[in-house]
Amino acid sequence: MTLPESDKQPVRLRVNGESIERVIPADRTLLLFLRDDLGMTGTKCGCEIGECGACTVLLDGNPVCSCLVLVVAVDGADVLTVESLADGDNLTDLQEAFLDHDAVHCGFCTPGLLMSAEFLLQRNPEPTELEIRTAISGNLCRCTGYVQIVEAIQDAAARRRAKAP
Amino acid sequence: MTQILVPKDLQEALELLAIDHPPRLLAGGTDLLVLRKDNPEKFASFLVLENVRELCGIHKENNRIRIGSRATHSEIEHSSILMKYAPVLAHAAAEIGSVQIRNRGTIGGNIVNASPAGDLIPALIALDAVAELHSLYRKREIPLREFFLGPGRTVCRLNELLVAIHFELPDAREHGVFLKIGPRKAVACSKVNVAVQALMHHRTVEWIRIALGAVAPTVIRAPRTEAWLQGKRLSPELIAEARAMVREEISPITDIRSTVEYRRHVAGVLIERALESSLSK
Amino acid sequence: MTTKFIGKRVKRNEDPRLLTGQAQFVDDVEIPGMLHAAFLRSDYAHARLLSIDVSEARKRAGVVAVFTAEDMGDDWQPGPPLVSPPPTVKDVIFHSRRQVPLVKDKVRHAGEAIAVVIAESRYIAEDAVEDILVEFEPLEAVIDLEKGLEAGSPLVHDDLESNLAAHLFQKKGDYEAAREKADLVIARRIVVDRGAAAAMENRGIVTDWDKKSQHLTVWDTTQAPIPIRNGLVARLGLSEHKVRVIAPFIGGGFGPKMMMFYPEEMLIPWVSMKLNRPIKWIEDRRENFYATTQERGQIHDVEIALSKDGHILGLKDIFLHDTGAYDPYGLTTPLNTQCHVMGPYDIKNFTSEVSVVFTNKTLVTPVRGAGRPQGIYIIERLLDIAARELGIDLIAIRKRNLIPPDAFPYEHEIIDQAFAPLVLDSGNYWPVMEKALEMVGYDQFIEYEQPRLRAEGKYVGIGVIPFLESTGVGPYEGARVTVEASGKINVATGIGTQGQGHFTSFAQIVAEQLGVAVCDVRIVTGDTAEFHWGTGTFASRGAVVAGNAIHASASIVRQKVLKLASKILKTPEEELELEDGLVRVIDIPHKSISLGELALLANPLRGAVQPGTEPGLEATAYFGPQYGATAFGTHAMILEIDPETMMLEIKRYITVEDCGTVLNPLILEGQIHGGVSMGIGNAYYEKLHFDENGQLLNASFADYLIPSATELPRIEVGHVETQSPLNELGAKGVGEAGTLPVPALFAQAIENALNNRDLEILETPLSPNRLYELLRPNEEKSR
Repeated sequence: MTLPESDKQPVRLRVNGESIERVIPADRTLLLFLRDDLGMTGTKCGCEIGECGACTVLLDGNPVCSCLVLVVAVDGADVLTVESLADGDNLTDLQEAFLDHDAVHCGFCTPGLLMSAEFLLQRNPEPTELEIRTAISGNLCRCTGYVQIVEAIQDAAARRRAKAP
Repeated sequence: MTQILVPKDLQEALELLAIDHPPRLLAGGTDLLVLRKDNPEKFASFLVLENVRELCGIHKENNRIRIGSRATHSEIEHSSILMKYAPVLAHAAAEIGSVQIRNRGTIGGNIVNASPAGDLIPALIALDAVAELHSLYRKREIPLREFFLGPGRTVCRLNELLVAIHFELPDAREHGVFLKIGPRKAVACSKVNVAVQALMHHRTVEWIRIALGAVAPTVIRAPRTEAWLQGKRLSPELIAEARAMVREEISPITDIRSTVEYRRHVAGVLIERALESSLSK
Repeated sequence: MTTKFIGKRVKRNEDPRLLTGQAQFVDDVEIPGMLHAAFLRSDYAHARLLSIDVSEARKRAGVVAVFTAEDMGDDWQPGPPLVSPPPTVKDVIFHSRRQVPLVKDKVRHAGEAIAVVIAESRYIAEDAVEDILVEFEPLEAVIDLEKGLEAGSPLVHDDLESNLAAHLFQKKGDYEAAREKADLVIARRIVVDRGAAAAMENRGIVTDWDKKSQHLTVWDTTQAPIPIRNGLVARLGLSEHKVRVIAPFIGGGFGPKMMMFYPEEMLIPWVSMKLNRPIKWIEDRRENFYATTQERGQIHDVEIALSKDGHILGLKDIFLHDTGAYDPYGLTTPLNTQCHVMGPYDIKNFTSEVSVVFTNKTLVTPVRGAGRPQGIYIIERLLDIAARELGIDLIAIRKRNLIPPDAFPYEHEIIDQAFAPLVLDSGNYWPVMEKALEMVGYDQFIEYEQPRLRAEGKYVGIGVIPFLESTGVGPYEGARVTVEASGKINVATGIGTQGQGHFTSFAQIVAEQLGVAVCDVRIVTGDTAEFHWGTGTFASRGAVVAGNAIHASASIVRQKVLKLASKILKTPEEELELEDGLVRVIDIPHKSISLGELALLANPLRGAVQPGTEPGLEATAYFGPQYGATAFGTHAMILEIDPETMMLEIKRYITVEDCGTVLNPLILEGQIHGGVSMGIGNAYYEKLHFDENGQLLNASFADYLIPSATELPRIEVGHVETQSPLNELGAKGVGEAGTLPVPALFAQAIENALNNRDLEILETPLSPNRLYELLRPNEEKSR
């Protein structure tokens, strides 16, 4: 990298539970920070203008388009990406439901969709179909027509409710 | 090369703005970072407002509601204060973009960007809101009605910061409606949006404010229609006349999103529906 | 046939990687020392390139190289022709003009690449692009198809006399004679406009040239890795085994990633060799809107002749087809239109004449549907108009004209993209349509629900559209199936995968033959190092052509397994079965041997091997169909329109598909859902708006709106199976099917919903705004 040092700023974030400290160019977006600086390529880049949702991550618990977040602006924040979900080979109930319902086709939109769906289920354990569709309306998918994705999220919600004490 | 400044509080932010070529203000970034993508040279420096606590929060203060300019669309959408006193604004916020965008985008950004189609602006104008602008040396208040000069242009000066928006606490009997038409149900820029705030008494209009977006260079009120409706009893015939009248009060354009004729037509339809919804209350 | 795996709802093998962010897409490839590329692209659609100055860009810190056309010297060559025009059609005119790696003399569409900057980072490369100074002489752009053919029009290619890229005439029977006998002749102009495929993943390419071993590795977002490898070999003068093209996980293809040899695909490997460095180029979304191929622009002047009882006597279609600035993909798309404009109907007299036009717009190559949706839109619109004029029910007029089941194989006669007269292999159309009518409750809706809802002031409409789809065309695909010593099965085939679930459906085919678990079959697609014969994933052919090649290979391996096991278990082959990864004696199940052990025994280290025996449990086989299999389906929809805003809501959406043998219903349904959703985008949300200068006005996802979850309905899928006699699996393709009838379905259902408004829809895509405009003259008349 050949940018002058004065343009760089130190940042400290928690990414998937791990403390990260880096000195980065001041205008680095969270998306490119994750992908280029941390090598965490699960989060995808589809449009870079916040329209497709492929880059959705949870920032302090809330879904955001990481392409429209400057890292220096959210210094100290807590970031969760798709890589945070499964525990090794053990998929989460949401991931399992995606698998069971064929909700993954090419898989490019999947990481962002999972983060939006995870947020929905945390907020609303019993979402209606319309609530699910609205919650994922910022995640574009070109392969599935969303049918199996909606089914998978409904199923994941049911599984969570069944497990809840 | 981009310079990014991250002030810790309002005082520092105002100091950083008090120079000849002040940095661009960056709140949620949902519009500015998009614009920057195609024109990076226009965005040499940013002032990030993320940590300026004085810009946060939605409060009921005496008989006014005050919304910090950094309040996100999500905060507005879910605010119990706004849901109770100014649902027109909460509903408008819920119609903006996607969850992801609402979690970052702010009311201040929506106002200062001055898009003729910005969804919060008609709601705020219908609430007769006032913008509170600070510079290092002074503070001034501008009614939002007078705030916009054209697409992307406002009275806010480069050294000024929009700190908050406030409006009089609406009477419990007031009624507010926000409606929009976009090309897609979700996550789409409005082709036309309208906000109506009114006080009705036994179906008679005591007063009404009508604001429309994307039908003129700025969000506008419809003063002739408002005045004509005042004191009249709402009826289907009256609503039909108001619909026709509003169509003549606006000056939409044809662009990639819509044609003049459709915008004119739909603006009338939305006013009709907003009034019908008042009628049903 | 009873099956254990084929036809079952098997979960996908590939999903765990995709669900955890561990799947590697091209943009995820990282190589030490890798440089990054960014392109300078033209803002003009049509302009002469007068001068170009890259000196400032070269000076920028971090920039390694900048290349223009001139810098390429003799290596500057247009792309190879991909698909030639059909030699079998008489008097075909075809002017081949292929895309160039970098513009040399003249820009022919906005977004065409002029120079490439190679730098230490993508950020630097993009900044350096801004440093390049170009002097253009802007020229009038060719945008409109009809004006483009007028004398005196500016020329996209100066060496041609006109903008006519190709001309093709096909006929069967005698239309003019049929017209003489007709009771009703309907003539209309019908216009179809452009859309984008808009895969969520943009294109990209990573190349790694190892000078010492003279080996080039290319990761490419392509649907056709083997043709890319072959082309690179020819262009770069390398040996085939020194070039490895990998199409890893691809974020959606939909056709445009098939257009082999985009300028970047030629250029980036060349630069990598020049600089002796790995290079990555990833397209951004804006570039994708300008530089990735698009489709569907056609203008049809069409005429249908009918008897008064609604029998189609003949059809005549004269149309213009927009091919954009170049025509590397030949006539595949307009040929598909010609082959589908008769729909699934028995039409004896047909004339079709297409003029393909060069325009100053992005190149046109197949996009999911590939000319077929246009054909289906035309015939179905005409039948709706005919039914109205003749006072015949919309369903009855279609039923009356469907190709009857005893007519198969049906000689369609029109030459298709496989360069031979199309033959419809099999089908039984009416039961499919009937099932769709039942599922949507057609009679009930028409008789009770619609009148009831209309009385409530609701504008509800119903549509039912049948369609056929030519699929599974040749030439061929191949596969190698190997039993490994672990007992797991390795399968390699040459096509690429872009989300179709091949890792699972192909594994099911092998599991069926070899009696192993689906998860124990490892499928490799899209890696020329693993299998180096094949063409690609296009024309709804993966499951049919590659699927049957895999089936053939697995069948041979099964014979080898049985033969060896019979010897070892001292039991006749007929008394053996393959189950649970074992070969066992049917009646003595504990007498068995595992496939892994057999694989070891088949590859001995010592001892004599009988002459004629091949080592290992492995087979390679190929499949090439005599001609393509033709699928059939029917979609039905109920929608409600807001009569003021023209916003609509889909209340029910039904599809019934006959794509022959179903390999995996879970995957099949997903493919159909996806096709329908793209079709809905095509019908009511998506249209590329070019202005008169060739500027694309909506080159972003903010203005080019693909449907989100809130626009799309639940989609109910029904199946009917008429197996194809052309292949052992009995399969027909389905990948594109979902998109085909949707625009025609929208038009029919919208007209039905607004039946009091005197509306005749003769164009697609529509939008709320456009529908309002179509209705407005009527409103004004009625005032």
